[in-house]
Amino acid sequence: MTKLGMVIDLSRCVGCNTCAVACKEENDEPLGIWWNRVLTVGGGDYIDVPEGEYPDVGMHYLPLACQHCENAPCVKVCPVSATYKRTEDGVVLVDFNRCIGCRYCMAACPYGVRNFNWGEPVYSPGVDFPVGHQGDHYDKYNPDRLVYMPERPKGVVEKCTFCVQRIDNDEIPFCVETCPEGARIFGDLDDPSSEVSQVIMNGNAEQLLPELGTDPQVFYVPPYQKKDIIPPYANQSSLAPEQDIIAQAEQNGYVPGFENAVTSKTQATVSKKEDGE
Amino acid sequence: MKMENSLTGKINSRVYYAMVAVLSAIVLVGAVAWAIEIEYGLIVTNMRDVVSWGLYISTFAWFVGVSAGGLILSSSAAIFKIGAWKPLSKMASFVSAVVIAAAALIIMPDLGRPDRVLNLIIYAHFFSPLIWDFSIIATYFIISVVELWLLISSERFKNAGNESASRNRERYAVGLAFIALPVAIFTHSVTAWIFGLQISRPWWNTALLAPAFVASALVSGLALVLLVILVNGKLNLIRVSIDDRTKAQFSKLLMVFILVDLYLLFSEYLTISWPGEPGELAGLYTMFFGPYWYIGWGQWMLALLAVALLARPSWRTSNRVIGTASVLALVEVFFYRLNLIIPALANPLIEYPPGTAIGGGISSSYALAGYSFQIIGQYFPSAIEWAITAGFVAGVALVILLGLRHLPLGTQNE
Repeated sequence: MTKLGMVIDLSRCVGCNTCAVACKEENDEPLGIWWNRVLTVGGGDYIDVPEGEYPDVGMHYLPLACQHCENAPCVKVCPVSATYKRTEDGVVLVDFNRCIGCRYCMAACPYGVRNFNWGEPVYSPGVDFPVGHQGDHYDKYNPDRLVYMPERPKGVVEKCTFCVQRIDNDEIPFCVETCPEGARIFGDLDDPSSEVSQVIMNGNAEQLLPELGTDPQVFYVPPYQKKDIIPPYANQSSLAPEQDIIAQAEQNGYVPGFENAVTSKTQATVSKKEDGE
Repeated sequence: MKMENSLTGKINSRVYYAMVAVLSAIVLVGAVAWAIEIEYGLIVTNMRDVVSWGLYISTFAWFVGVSAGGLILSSSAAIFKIGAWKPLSKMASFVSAVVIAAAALIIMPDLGRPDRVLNLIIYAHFFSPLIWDFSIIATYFIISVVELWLLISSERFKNAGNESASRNRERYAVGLAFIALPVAIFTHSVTAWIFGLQISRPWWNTALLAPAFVASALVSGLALVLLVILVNGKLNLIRVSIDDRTKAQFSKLLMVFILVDLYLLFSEYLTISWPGEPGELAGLYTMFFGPYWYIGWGQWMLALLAVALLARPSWRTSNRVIGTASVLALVEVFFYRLNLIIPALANPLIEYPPGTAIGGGISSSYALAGYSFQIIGQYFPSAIEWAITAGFVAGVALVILLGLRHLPLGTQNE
């Protein structure tokens, strides 16, 4: 069985909001809708504000979207099964054609990651051109289920789909692809050798609100790590750390987008090294 | 002694028609508001993604409770053979049927896609407490109507001199009452379980919620039946005989129901607050010290005031006291429903800035001014929500009035 999941390394996340904006763009989210948000776990009501008093301050970011729970309250409460969990890969989806807009799922979701279309979708003034994925997408495994549409109907609930229009075409979610810090890894949780499983194991990754028993398929590597988890390069060869990262990454067939995280200088070093070999 | 106005006097048509006119006007305003909501979507309400249920669902839960009185009264009269309550049975069953129908219908303006309401039947997902609730509400409505029909036809046969057919119908009515009572209990419990089974919000997930809903349903249900008796007394629409002893009995029952309800609530609040778990406390704090403090304290004030009024035995037969206490009890239970839903929803489990996106359909100027997120939910019903809800409440009152006037709900032979 495949169980698609994600791990987010909070020790890598710098709160740049690229994932949130990339998500909004790829999924053509109207104003007021954010499937993916970057929360500041700090000291106040405003983003980027640490807790504590200088110099004893602390803060980290918590990127938050649908957790694709194994034991999903939204799926259990939906009276018409418009929200359902795909048996093939465990992705939780909403059928735009079936949702009656009762919003029971929003009341039932402990993570607050569902958005409702209270009215006709509104876009930023000036955005009068197509943005993001165009064309409706039907679930690959359940072709009667309309799980993505750029033109939002009013009165239905929507949320993160792990970019179903992309994963159904063997691409990774857009937030994973665009994360400049390589903090997100996506893959099969049921395969213990998959990178996502490895990082979850090595990084002591945790689920959000685990005490509720929802068993999310999104994991978080804790923010304050003594060592880097993706990829582990402590006690390694004589290579400089950056080079070591690249070497490790190549060995692991590392996530796309990762190369963006290192400087062009190190990239040049790597290409030189490759040329030499 | 009979209630002074339950004798075969002339109906008070001036007041009756004035009430019908005012109620119809409110229903009309509600209908216009609903049309506006259908045109523009739920954006015309003040619900947003954090407080995603508001006045409609609170009123739904309230209506379900209020509908309790009738069926519980009429079936208790049959099961426990309480003779003095029997003359009220028809009227009580009728009130139950009307209010439970209103409960089912007020879900409609809350739906984002009311055009897809039949999906509830076509794609019914039987794991969802909402489906349980729709099923049991439908059952409850059918039972109320059948019970009413059995009681009416039993009386018709009796008047026509057909004693055996009348007794036969009455036997069916008693048999049905044995089903009606547990169904009524479960209707209130299932409505509580819509919230009580959820782990997503502070202090919803408590086993006490179903018993508390049954208790508060008894409070509001009995209060409405009493209010209908009193209004009928003023208008003289049907003959309902109720003596002072029964009146005092009802008053005492109402007081006891309120006290039981308050006891359950107190137990609940103590259990929430004593351990000092921050998430649970947040909901309670919002209820009593947040923007909705007047609802939080209001519920207790109204309930205690009603108890104080009913505590004095000599006042328990006074129409004025019963009327006031009934109104207080009805509002108290309405406040309870608001307290249960709004402060809980306003306090999501994850409260970090920038908060939860408020949802699609908001205007660009609003979004660009930076109001796309809420950490703690903010909610006060919009004019449209008030109008639609008032329309439903007025509609219930109107149908009850029309029913009293035109249906054979009273006793014909004394």
